[in-house]
Order: sequence, then structure tokens, then C-alpha cells
Amino acid sequence: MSDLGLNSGASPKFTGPMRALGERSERLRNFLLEYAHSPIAVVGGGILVLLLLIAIFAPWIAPQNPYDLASLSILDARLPPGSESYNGYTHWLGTDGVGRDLLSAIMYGLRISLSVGVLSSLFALLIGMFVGLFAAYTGGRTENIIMRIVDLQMSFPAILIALILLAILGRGAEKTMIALIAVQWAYYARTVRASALVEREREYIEAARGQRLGHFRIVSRHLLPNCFAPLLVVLTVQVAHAITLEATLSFLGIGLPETQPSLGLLIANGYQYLLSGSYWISIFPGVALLITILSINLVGDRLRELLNPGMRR
Amino acid sequence: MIAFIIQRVFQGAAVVLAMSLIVFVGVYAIGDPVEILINPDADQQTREAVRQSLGLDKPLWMQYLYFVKSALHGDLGTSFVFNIPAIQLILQRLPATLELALTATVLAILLGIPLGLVSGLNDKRWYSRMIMAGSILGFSLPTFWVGLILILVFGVWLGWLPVYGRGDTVRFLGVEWSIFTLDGLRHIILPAFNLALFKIALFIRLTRAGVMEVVNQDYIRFANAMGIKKARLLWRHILKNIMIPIVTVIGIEFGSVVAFAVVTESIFNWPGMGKLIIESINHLDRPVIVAYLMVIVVMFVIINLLVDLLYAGLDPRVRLGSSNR
Amino acid sequence: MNAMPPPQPVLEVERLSTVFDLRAGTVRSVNDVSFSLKRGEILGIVGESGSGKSVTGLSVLGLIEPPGRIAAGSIRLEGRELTTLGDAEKRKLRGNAISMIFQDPMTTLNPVLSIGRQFFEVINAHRKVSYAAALDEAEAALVQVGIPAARERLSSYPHELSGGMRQRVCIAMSLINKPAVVIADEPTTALDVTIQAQILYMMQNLVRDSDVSLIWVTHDLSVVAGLCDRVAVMYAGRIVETGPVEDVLGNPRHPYTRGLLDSIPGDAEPGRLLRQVPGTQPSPLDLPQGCSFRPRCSQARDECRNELTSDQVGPDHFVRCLFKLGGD
Repeated sequence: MSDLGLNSGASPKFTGPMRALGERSERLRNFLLEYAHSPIAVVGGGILVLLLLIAIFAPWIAPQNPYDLASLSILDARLPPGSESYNGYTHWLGTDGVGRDLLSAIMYGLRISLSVGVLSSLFALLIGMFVGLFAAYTGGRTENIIMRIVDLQMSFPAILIALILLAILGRGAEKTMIALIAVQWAYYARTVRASALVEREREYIEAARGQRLGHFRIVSRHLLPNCFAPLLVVLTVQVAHAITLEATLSFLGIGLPETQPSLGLLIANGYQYLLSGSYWISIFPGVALLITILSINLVGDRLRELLNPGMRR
Repeated sequence: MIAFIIQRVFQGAAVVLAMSLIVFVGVYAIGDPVEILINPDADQQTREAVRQSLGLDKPLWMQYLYFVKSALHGDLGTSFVFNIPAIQLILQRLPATLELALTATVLAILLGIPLGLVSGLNDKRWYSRMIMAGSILGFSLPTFWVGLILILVFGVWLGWLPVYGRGDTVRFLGVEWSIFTLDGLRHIILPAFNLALFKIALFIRLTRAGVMEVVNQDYIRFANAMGIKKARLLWRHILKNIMIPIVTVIGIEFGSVVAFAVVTESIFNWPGMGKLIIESINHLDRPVIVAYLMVIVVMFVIINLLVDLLYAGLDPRVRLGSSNR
Repeated sequence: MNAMPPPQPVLEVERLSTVFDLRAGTVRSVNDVSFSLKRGEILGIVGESGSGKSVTGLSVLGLIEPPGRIAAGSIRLEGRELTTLGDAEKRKLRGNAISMIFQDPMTTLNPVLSIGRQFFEVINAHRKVSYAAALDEAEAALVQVGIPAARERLSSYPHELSGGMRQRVCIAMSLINKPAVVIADEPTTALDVTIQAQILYMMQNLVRDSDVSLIWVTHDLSVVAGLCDRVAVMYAGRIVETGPVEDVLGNPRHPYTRGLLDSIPGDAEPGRLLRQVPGTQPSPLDLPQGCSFRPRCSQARDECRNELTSDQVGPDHFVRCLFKLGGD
């Protein structure tokens, strides 16, 4: 299977037991050099870093605090891109229905979208990793039952699961996070189990068991490091999925609340003005969302090529 | 074969049962079922009457049995908003959703598979790269965002196509259809394409991967060495091999299309059950939510069952119960 | 009446060169290869993997695709030049006048088409026949290659047959349009030894009965000894020795042929160490000047760097070596 490619592939950086630190940085450097062989992936990576910086520093670099009601004026509502407000400030991307500077709103929205996407993916990764390792390590019936549940969940589309949960739980930030985590964990569980299974049969695991090393030590020192490469790939793909799904749910009005306007909510708020011609209120947040997802996918594709964790179905 | 079918039917029944349990626990046990099942404006007397009739003084497992029993009788409560049985409401909206989903799936097949074939057979050509770049874009673009762009470009700027509702419908086999009227057809183009886009990208990739794998197989080289014509090689020998996994995926993805119709219906105001469920969530019309969830789970189970049977029927290796490969 | 002219060869290959233009350079897979094949004759082409024996077969079938191309030489089938034919004409010949048997019967048949359907496809590509008529023909062909219950087998799928059965089906398919030449590319390598013996025996009978000419590509000299009339030994894209089987195997004149014969276990005395040819084949991107075998040859001298020719050493027996091993 292509899982074996992990150990013979371009970057054995994450495989095998822990390495010395010097060797690690050397491997990381080689890995980055190889990554740079694809220009489009470098562009994607560069844009992604830029977006992350914008998201992190939004409160300091945004021209306006879009949620400081005192700074808003209804007179500035629905100004087209490039127009000047009555107090002489230029809105490069225009303003929305309540006179908010769209550029600032997008920066803040990016911050919310990225943090919800990344956080939910990381939580899902932790849960999925634990479940996958547990399944692979215990084996037998327990493993069978767990993997049956994983397969069953994956046979339902993500949006449907999120819809069911939000229909039961109701709208809200934590609830949206719960839905996103519930949608994602199975992917991580399956990935971790697949790579752990390959390693499980290896001799050194047997040797570790033979030496009566503790369960935790065997799992954390031997099984886990071998799952890093495929997990990294799944993580990038899933972050993009989570951001898209959150935006979709928020757009439908069942995701994040109005007080946390992610990109999806900004698009939804602009939707009512779309038919009357104020296209920018919806379109620019949409472009920001699109660039975010595309850049993550470009990075993810390249990582998949380099790390090749055999996750095609 | 019979054993196989029976096994799958039982599996499906188990999934439906598990789902009913989740919905029951989610809707009935976590919240107050009275709040959920009757109109918030109802007076105290009505509340008590409902409480009695639901048997809320009884233990939880008996309540669940009662829920299952009424569900089996098609009774999942009455919509507060429309004041008709929830299940009836869902079934009224089902044809519009199915029509949209079917049209989208057909569109995805008609566009995705030929494009995948072209790019798989001429791997290195510029147009193959264009097709692949397009499919990456198709994967990355969120459905609702594409919907907005379609509305903006074709509805607002160009004004070519309507972007609201189903248009004229005609009654056929006891159900209203849009695709059989010219106006309805014009109305379905944009939403169907919107819904199909992701699947087009998927089918392109799948077909391409299949073609590229199969053309290098010995049996294709042998058929070529036996002088079989290129076109026939493609239609009979290559396509038949890749169609087995593709048909399976089409079946599975049909369920996903129905689920994603929620988004497209909301954007294009398509009066299907997807738009209904979003409205019901926003209005806290919980009987309708429960009915939707149960209907869609049953639908999914049936689709998966049909796909399994189809796969078994198509592949001679499965059909004859042998696993020699 | 005049004396009968010597029968014209069915297939003549003359100074054939097939190359692959790769980024790393040009690979000369087949280099200046000439041979001919008479009606009803079985020619064995022997060599290690990468010696160019399979590419020779594919060149004759017109199945060389970019980056490969036939760079020089001529291939004549019953007097007709094949290298200049267009794609459509080449296709008409394939499976009809020339056909091929592949190495691995497990992967050569289409898994989703029934055996009968695959026969129909092969027949229908060259002759307009009804499906029913094609099945009748296929049944007869299956009987000929010794498949029991042939009629029922036609509705079977490949996975229901054993490897030996599948190879018989492939052979029957390659013969169904009565070709003049069949090229078999190691068709018994993937099979058990007992099955291999059955298939070889069957092939000999088929050739005797049908007058077809056969090229048997293999790395196994013992198969050649039992099956073929003539043999061509290939090394690094060239034929280094060719001639009647009994001459070449009984009295090899090229050091490489000698080396191959010495490494057959069956010919060695029990208990004696087997000899082997030392070293490996040269990289096809960087062939040695002059004799390609020079780096591995114990007889090699400086003169071996010069270009050499193929010299006749017996009736129909040619050797490409300056210092031929001792004659009779």
C-alpha cells in the first residue's frame, strides 16, 4: 500500500522514533526546500501566512473598529468601493448596510473564520487521534465497533450531520464548534488508525511490548510519531473544510450568532443588497473566503504530494 | 445474494433506529418536549393535555417507545407554523428537492465524466491541465458563494435567467414538476448548476483517475495488440471498467446532493424541503425538524442499500460471490 | 519444371533500431537487429531483462509509442513494409496478420467482460460476424487449446478461470484470426512448471497444424531448447548470436551464449558449482564502444573497442564477436 510510501518517500522527517534535534532541523530545511519546488504552492503558502498575520493582528491594523458603534454613521451606508466617507476617510472596499468599513469588517471576519476553523479542527484532531490510537492499540472487537461507527458517520455528508446537530442544539458559537468537531473527528480517527496499523505490525513495537514498556509509552513514543505526516495533511484539508462549512452554516443563519460576524455572516448580510446592485457588500467577503480556502488547499495539495500518506479512497 | 440483501436491510434498519434514538434524546430528553412539540402561545390547559397524552410522567424508555410507535404511524407532530402534520409538510416539499437533486446529478454526470475522460486520456495536454485546474477551483468554491455569483452575473447583470423559485410547474404522475415546462426549465438551470458544480469537479477527478489507471492495464494493452479500434477500446473496454466505481460514487453522492440542496434552495428560494428545514430551525418549528431528520435518514439508508445492490449487479467479481483478484 | 524457389520468409526484420527519447538521453533499446522467420518456424529470442527482446516484439507489432520510435530499419510481413504504415493500417494488421501473447495471463483478460464477449471483440475488430457466429468460432478455438466444456466457458468471466486456463484462452484469442506471425512474450513465465510444459507441448502442436510462425521471447534457454527451431541471443539491444537451436546451444561461439548455458542448473553435473556471467548489463544510456559485452567478457581485448560485424560461422549461424569461442 501507499502507506509504505511514508517511510520511503520524500520526507521521512516525521517517521521513526524521535530524532536528535540537529537532525530534525536539517530535515525540516530539506523539506522546505523540496516544498519550494512548486511555485504555485509557494504562492499559496505565502498568501496563507499573510492571511494568518492579518487575522492575528486585525485589531491593530484594521482602519476602523467595525464593531465600535460610535464610529459608525448611517450616512456612510452602502458606499461603493473607493468612496470617501463624510468625514474624509476612504473606504477602499466600500461600506456595508450600516456604514461599516468593509475592509475592516473583512479583517475581523477573517479572524473569526480562521479561529473557528483552526480551533475546531485541532479539537477534532485530538479526539480523532485518541479514538484512532485507542482502536489500533486495543484491536479486536473494540476496534471493529469503533471503526464501524467511523465508517457510518463518514457515509453521511458533513453538512447533514452539522444540520442535525444545530437543529437539535440551536444556533451559537460553541454549538457551531461542536458541530464542526463532530463532523471532522472521524477523518482523523481513520487516518491515525491506518498509519498506526502499519506500524503496529512492525518489529520494534513487538520489541517495545517485549520490554514491558508501559502502554502510554509505546503509544506516545512509537505509534504516535508515525501518524504525524498523514495527520498534518488531513489537518490542512479539514481546516479548509471547516471554514467552508462554518461559512455555509453562518450564511444559512444557523451557525455563528450576529455578534460574531465571520466571513459567512458578512456574505449573508450583504446578500439582501445583492439584487439591488450593491454587489460589493457580499462579493468582497466572498473573495476573501475564496482566497483563504484556495491557499489552504494549495498548501494541502503540496503537503500531500510530499508526505504521500495514501489517503485517496 | 438474498442473504446479502437481508443483511443490508437489517443494517439499514439499525441505522434508522439509532438515528431515531439520537433525535429522540436530542429533541425530547434534552429540551422540554412540551416546549418543543406545541405552540409556545398555547395556554396552560393545552400544555397539560399534551403532557398527559405524551405520557411524560412515564419513564424515559416508555416515552421512546411511544415516540417510535407514533413515528411508525407517520405521526411526528404538527407544524406550529403551517398547522398541518409535519410529515405531510415534508412530503409535500420532497418532489421539488428530488427534482433539483436529480437534475443536478444528471448535469454533473453529463459534464464531469466526459471532461474527466478527455483529461485522463490526454494527460499532458494544455486543455487537460485547464480541466484539472477548473476542478480544483470547483472543490474550493463554497456552494453558497457560487450561488451568489450566479445570481449576480446571470440574474442581476445579464438578466438572462430567473433566480427566484420554481417557475411554472405541471402535474405529472401526481406531482408538480418544473422541468417539463419551459419556464420551469429556465428556473432550474442556475440552481441545478450551482448544486452540481462540486460534483462535476468530483466526477472529473474520479473519471480521470480511473482512466489513467485502466489504460495502463495489461488487458487494455492486449486489446490494443489485438487491433481493437480506439473508440471501441474506450467505450467497451475502458469505460465499462471505470463505470463500476463511478456508478457507485454517483449513488452515494446523490444523498450528498440532497443534503447540499439545503444551501442551494435557500439561495434560489427553491421551495423544497431544504429551504423548509432552515426556516423551521429559525422558527423553532421542531416537529418539522424531527420529521425532516427522520425522512432524510430513511432516504439515505435506502440510497446506500440501492448502491450496494447496484454495485453487486454491475461487477461480475462481486456478482458471483467470488473475490479472486 | 523449374526447381521450387526457396520459400519466401513470412517476416523479415532488417537492421531495426528502436530508440526511446528520454530526458536523460536516448535509450537504444533495439540496435541494428536483423532476423527472418519462415512459415511454420519457431524462433526463440533470448536475453536478460532489458536486453531489448520485448521491445523487438512490440516494434514488429507497431506498438511502440512516444517517447519511443523506430529510428531505422525495415520490417516486412509477407513482403509488405510495415514501418511506413499509418496507424489505422497497423491496427488492421494487429490481432489479424500478426498477434501477440502476453506474459501474465492473470492481468491480460478484461475482468468485466465475459470470455465470449472478448472473443467477439477480437474477431469483430477485423471481420464482420454476428455475435452467435463469433461464439461458435470461439468455442472451436477453445477446444483446440484444450479447454474442457468450452461452450460454458464462453459465458465465464476471467476471475473464474485458473492462470493456465486463462493463458490458453489468450492463446486461442491470439490465433482466432489466423495470423501469419504470433509473438509470445514470456507467456509461461508466470505459470507453474507443469502447466508450462503442457502449454509448450500444445504450442508445438498448434504451430505444426496451422502453419503459423512463432516468435517466442524468453529468458529461459531450456524452453528454447525444447520448443524452437532457431534462436537469437540478444544482449544490450543487439543480437550477439543466432542460428539453428542445436548449433547455437550445442556449439555456442559467443562468450555470452556460453555464459547463459553455463548458468542453467540442468546442464551442470550434480554437486558442481554453477557458473554465472559476472557483472551486469551496461546502462542503455551509456553503451560501451564496440562490443557491449566487453566489460563482462573474459576474452575481451583492446580490439573489442572497434565496431564489429556479424560473421557467419556455420550454415545460418552468425556470431557478433571478434574472438569466437572454438569451433567444432
